Order: sequence, then C-alpha cells, then structure tokens
Amino acid sequence: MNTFEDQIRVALHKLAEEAVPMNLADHALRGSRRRKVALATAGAAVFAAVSLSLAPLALANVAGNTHPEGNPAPPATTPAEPSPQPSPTVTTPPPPQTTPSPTVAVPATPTIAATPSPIESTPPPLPTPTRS
Amino acid sequence: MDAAAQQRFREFVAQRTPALMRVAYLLAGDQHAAEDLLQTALTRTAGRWRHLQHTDPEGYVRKVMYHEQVSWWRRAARRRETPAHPVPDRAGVDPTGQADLRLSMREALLRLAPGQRAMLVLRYFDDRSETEVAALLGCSVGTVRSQTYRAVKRLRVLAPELALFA
Repeated sequence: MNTFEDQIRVALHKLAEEAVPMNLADHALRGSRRRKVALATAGAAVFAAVSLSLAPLALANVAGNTHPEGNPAPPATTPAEPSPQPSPTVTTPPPPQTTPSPTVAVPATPTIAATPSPIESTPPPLPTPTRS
Repeated sequence: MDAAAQQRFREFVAQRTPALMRVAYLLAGDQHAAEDLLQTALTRTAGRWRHLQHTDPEGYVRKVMYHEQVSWWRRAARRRETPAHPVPDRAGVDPTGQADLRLSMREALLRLAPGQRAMLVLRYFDDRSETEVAALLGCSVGTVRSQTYRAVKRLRVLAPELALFA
C-alpha cells in the first residue's frame, strides 16, 4: 500500500520537473490593473442601471401619494416636488365648469317670467264691495 | 500599488515562480494551462498585495490556484479554447523508464477529476497533512480522506504500471 503511494510521490515529483518556470510578474501586475478598472466600470454600470430603473418607480410613487386632493402631504421627505405637479391637474377641472355657467345664465332669464306669475294670481278682488 | 510594493512583488514572483509553476503544472496538466493558472493566481495576489505582503503571499497564491483549478467557471472557459497548433508527437519508449513513468502519471492525472487531482498534489507532492488540506480547501477532514482514497483507487486503475516502477 505504502509502495504505491510512494510511487505516486516519485511520479509527481518527476512530472513536476517538466514545468518551465517563467516570470509572470509584469503580466500579473498589468492584469491586476485591468481587473481593477473592469471592476470599477462594472460597478458604475450596475449603479447607473439600478438608479435608472428605480427613478421612474420613485416618481410614480410620489405622484401616487399626492393624487388624493386636499391631503396635506404627510411625507416630509419630498414635499417640494409634489406640489407643482398635482396643482395644475386639480385646478384645471373647475374652469370648464365655470365657463359654461354664462350659457346657463341665459336661460336663467326665465326667472323674469316667473315674476309675472304672482301678478296674475292677484286679480280676484271682486266680492267684498257688495255688502251695502 | 506604489513602486516599492511593485518591486517587492516582482522579487517575490521571481523567487517563488519555480516552485509555484511546478504545482500549477501538476494541477493543470500542461505548460500553457499551468502558466494561465499561475498568472490568474498572481494577478489576484497583486490586487491584494498591500495586505498580503507582510503575511503569507505564497500560501495565498497556492490557495487561489487550488480553488481556481476546481472552479466550474474556469473549466467552462477552458473548454471553449481551441488549440492553435497540433499536439506534438509522443516520444518513443524510454529504456530508463523515467519518461514512461512521467507520461503515464500525466495521462492518469489528466483523467482524474480536478478535485481529486488537487487532493493528490496536496497530499503527495506538497506533503500536507489531511488537516492542512481541509483548511486550505475549506472542507472537512473526512472529505479529504475520502477524496484522497478515491483518487488513489482510481489512479490504480488508470495507471497500473505505476506499481511496476516501485
């Protein structure tokens, strides 16, 4: 048993003598520099990709929080941004309601026609003078 | 890395390359693969040289080589390589038996799994104890024992002529 293991040892040492040593220091130093640059570039790319993909989500979240009108925006993190955006959407609906009001006011003139109606209802002063 | 540290790294590599190249050769199986393996290990060592230069840089290089050798990614990358030149002709029979011994050992090593090959190199070339091998490869002593047993058993099948040289 031992002889075979010893033989493995001998064979491995003989085989290892075939290896030709060569100086790889410069290659290793250059490779290390390249590796650092590649790692930094990859890190920056991942950061950019993550922030680009999260930005629309964050904006949508902020817009969703401010949609219910009249809520005095409790999140104190980004109070400045939501106020300019929702205000135009909230204020725009009233103008269409106010602009038709003049057209509605024209038919409101029939209220004048309604005033003569009390005049018509007054005429019956007949029976009382015949007592004498 | 500053100039002084680079100089120290160059000195370390120049001093230790012969020994490291032998281990790389046994692990990888041929000269080019060994150079590639050693260069990968040295590149990673250079990246951490500031921390390693005062401890045990050679131990780190060896550790990286063993782990790289067993790494699935590395094997997958090497599988995609295609040799640019044909493999040189095999030498004739050597009357002294030394070349035959080397050739049969190389053939057998190449047919072993990378993990088993690493076990054999660590146990019978580096002469490390089972505990040291376990610590180096990050596995249990039992795993080292069983892997070594299987590697030797398989080597008996792959290279029965090794017993003849004893």
